[in-house]
Amino acid sequence: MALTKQTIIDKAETVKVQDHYCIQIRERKQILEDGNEISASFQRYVLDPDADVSKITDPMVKAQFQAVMTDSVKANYQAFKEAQEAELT
Amino acid sequence: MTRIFKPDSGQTLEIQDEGGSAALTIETDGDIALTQNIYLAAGKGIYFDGGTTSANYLGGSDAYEEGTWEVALTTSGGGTIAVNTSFNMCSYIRIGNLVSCGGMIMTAGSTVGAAGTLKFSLPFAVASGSEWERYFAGSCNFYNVELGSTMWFIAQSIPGASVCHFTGMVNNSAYIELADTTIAAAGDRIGIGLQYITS
Repeated sequence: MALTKQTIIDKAETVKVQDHYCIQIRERKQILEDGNEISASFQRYVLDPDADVSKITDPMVKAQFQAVMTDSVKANYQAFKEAQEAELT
Repeated sequence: MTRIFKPDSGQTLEIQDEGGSAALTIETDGDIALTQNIYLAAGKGIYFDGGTTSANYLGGSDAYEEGTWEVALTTSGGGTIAVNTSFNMCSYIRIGNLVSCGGMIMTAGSTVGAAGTLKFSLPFAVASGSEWERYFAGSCNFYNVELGSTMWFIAQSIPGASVCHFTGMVNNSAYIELADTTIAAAGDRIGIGLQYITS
């Protein structure tokens, strides 16, 4: 009976908001007994279009990010942020 | 072909466990009583109140989730504030598209990069809306952060974004701005409690 701990990304959801997209990442921290999960907890973060792609370490997430965050999506996000700032002032 | 099980009126259809106690009871008026858990298959859920659309639906992978997220502090100008990695987690519970989240973090340094409105990252993106129905107000607290003359702030979700910002309680009187002279330094604390709608 061997207990091990590992963290995997079990969800990378592309979500459309306004005219841009974000990727919602869920990490699953697992406690495994002989390879079978006996406990788990979740930790999340969100990748916006202006996220620093060089800091994405998971190859699957990086590929998804590069596929989704086109120049058009990034431009729409920038316009959204500027509109938000305009609304604040 | 349909097989009908029809107890007399007032009687029930009962499946018992090995000890002879009722495990599943179906009454003739349609009520169902269970003594144990329900295990729905992945992607399945429940429609409430006779509805058949998403407005009455709770289920799938978004039905219930609880966890933590690692907070990032940024500014609208693109700046960042380092967060102490021993105190950078907040917690959330998501039920359907409703997210309840909160906690407190500690800064590890002052602003790096351009100044601007302080943004506090959230675990899910805030749903966008046609009017202002996605601007949800929550609570916040600050320890040692230089807030200027405004005394009372609220945390406010920003539709379409994955962050909240902090605005004065009255007439959006002020936003917490990280100017060139930093308002946060190592050891400052920022806490929020916020409920909002995600997609």
